[in-house]
Amino acid sequence: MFRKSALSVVAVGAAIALLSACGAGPGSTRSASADGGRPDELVFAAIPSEQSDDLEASFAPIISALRKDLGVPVRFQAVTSNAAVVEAQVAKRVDIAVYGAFSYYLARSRADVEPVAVPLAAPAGEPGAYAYGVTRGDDKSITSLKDVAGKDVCFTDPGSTTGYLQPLASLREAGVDVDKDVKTVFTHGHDTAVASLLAGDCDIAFVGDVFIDQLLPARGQLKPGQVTKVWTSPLIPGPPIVVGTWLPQDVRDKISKTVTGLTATGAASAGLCKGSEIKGPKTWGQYADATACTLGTSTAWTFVKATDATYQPIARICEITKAEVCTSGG
Amino acid sequence: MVSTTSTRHAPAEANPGPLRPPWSARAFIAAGLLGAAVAVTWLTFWWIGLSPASLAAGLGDTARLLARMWPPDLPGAGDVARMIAETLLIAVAGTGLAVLASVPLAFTAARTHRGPRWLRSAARVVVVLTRAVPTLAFAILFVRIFGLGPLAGALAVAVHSVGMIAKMLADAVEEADPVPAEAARACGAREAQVAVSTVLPRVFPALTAIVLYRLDINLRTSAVLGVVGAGGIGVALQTALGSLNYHRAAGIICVIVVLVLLLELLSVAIRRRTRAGRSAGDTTGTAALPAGRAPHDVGWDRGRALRVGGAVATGVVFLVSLWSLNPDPGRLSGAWTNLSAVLTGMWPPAFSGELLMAVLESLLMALGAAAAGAACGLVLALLTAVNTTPWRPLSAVVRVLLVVVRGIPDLVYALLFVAALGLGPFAGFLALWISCTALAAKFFADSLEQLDPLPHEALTAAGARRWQAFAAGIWPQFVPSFTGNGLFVADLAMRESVVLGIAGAGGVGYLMQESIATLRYDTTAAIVIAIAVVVYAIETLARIARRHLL
Repeated sequence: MFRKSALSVVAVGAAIALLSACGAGPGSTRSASADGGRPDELVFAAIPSEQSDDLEASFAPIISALRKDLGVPVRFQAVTSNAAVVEAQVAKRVDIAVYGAFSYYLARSRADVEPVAVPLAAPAGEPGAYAYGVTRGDDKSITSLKDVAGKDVCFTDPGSTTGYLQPLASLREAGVDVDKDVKTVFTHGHDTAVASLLAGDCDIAFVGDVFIDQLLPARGQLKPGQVTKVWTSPLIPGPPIVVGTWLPQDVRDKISKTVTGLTATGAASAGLCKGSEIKGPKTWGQYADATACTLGTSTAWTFVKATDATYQPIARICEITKAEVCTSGG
Repeated sequence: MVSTTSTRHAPAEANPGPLRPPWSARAFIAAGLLGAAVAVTWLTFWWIGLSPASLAAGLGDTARLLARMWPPDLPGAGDVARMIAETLLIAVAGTGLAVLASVPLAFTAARTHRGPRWLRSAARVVVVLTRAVPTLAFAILFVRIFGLGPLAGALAVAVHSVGMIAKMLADAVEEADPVPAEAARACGAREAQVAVSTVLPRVFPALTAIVLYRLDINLRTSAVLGVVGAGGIGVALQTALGSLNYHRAAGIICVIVVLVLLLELLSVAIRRRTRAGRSAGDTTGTAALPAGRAPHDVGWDRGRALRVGGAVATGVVFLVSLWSLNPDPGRLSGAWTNLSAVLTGMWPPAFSGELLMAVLESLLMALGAAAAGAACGLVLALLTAVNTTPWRPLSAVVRVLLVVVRGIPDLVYALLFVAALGLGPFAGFLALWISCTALAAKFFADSLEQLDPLPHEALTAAGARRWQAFAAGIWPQFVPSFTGNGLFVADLAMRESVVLGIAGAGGVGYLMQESIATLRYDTTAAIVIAIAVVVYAIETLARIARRHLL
């Protein structure tokens, strides 16, 4: 009895060993890129955000466009930590990545990377987003940033430009010292910031415009009149597509050309997202309700060229706030 | 002729060769589990494309990343003290609440429970469910109900801890000597009386050990508590890592390591004391009371004073921690509408092929990491446990090393391996393997130390060599808890596979985080159900194995 089962165990083991001799497993990793060398595969990494239901599916049109134009396989990697993506870029193991504007600001001093493109939310829009300061609809005690002194404030996350750094800088310019004059609550998400505001955990919440204008009302989590917008930030640069400068210049140019040449509706008519098309949002003007593809997020219309200079506003925010997250050294 | 054969046979009968136990169901199951573990590990290695060469090639990148973490930088002393206090209070309150709920659950779920069968099954389902649902999911629920803050954090920790404490305690209850319980029952004691008077005192050392483990785990998962704005070390660590401030992260990790080390020292001291109270080595119960005293005279001696003092101190600390949670009654009134909103968002659970694939992927990696981790953990445990270590000072060194390894969060391992290997399953697997090794080593070392030392002592006294005494005096006793703890590490690995998402290795941990980040609670619900099914399957396997091995 036992001998027999031992034999079968050995047989299964041998089968598995043979199986593994047949080739690499589905998840083999690749080695670091050599400087200037021609890549035989590109790795594209992204981090899930509230604005993409299914990360891999929403980047699929971009990936297939890149694959077609560059003629090399592009592997998509979904990661939950921006630190992991940046470290993989420091080690030259991620060629293309998408992360927040502030993460780029942190990454540029550590990894050899440059931004090539930034998403445009609407055909007539600007490449970036605004932060809103919102209060409860029935609360009239805050009408401008000056009134925030002495109140409880919901920020999203210390590493968020829209949800923390830009409001911090604007509050500082309005004469409110966040360290002394207010009680800070970090909610770790734009939706939780609004939920905490409504529940009374704070008196004002700073969140991205798209959450108040589109996402939360569409999900039924925000009804008209529940919040009042009391402040709008200057334009904040959007999350860039960042490529490693170890890639040859022509490859980087081609990546930039490919993504800036995409539009949400164009990708749909080129058949880049068969079966997962979406309807264009109202902000797209004449293209509202047109059949479109997701380009990383459901609200991106196209990409425009970006350079390191596009992210100067972040450096300025850091100068004003001297926020601890900015001064973290290398 | 006939006589010569018989004389030739006689010595052969006196010496039938080396003695061998007959093959039994027990050996069959042990060998089957071992074979399965080897096969799964092999399959995992193939799946992730294990290549030690690429790891070696990437070590330079890891070294550079480590260099960027040096020197550690700490926030001001006041901040550190406040963070430590907040973290400790949440961990203690959460663990304490969990113990209160776990004790009755464990007695009901144990195989020795005499009540109705459905009650036992119901208790077991509760235990598995609380264990399968990740702390993060509970944290989201409780934040919706109680708002951001330490209360939501402590409750999330508490509910999640119930599963583990109740399961391990139920195992201890099943292992407890049934004779005193039968005696009490024969005298007409009711089940509750039997439990309190005979079983509880007997499993008390085990309970203490389990609670101390869990406190250790809860202290370290305080990085998760950061999510619910509960404050403490977790928030600081997440902020530091999120802003790539590795000097600060290294400083905070040092604080966590020191805390875990202190807890480990406390736990060693407490376990030594509870064992001494049981009069070491005696399992028959006759020497459960200190010698030299009449059995009916339960007077006060130093040991009892210490035990009672310790219990009172624990109770006071627990009450203080509860007080610090600062529940807001106004919040509770609106709780139900919030909760029902979240729960309706979870219904119906959205299953998909992608999800089942991710579960399979996570399961494979978790089992592989647990098997490889258990193997390495066993070696480390044998070096650590006082009754098996070849050299005492080595034991202390390995123990401290294990605490350091455990104190470093998974996220950091993931980062180090991502730097060496790039994003993907290999880096995720290695990170998971390290945390499994450290956990397995601790579980194994502690259960080795709790074994009955008499067989080993007897064999040593009879002149057995070191490995002979180990093979005959310790190993056979250790097999059941080795199997149980090994399977437990597998199920822990399944739930800790969140780390795979950090390293870009996908799996169910990534999907969970994505669904929470994108507010797709129906997907979250489906993932939770899938994990619960897997955990229940592992648990059933563990139960069958225990029944045949004990």
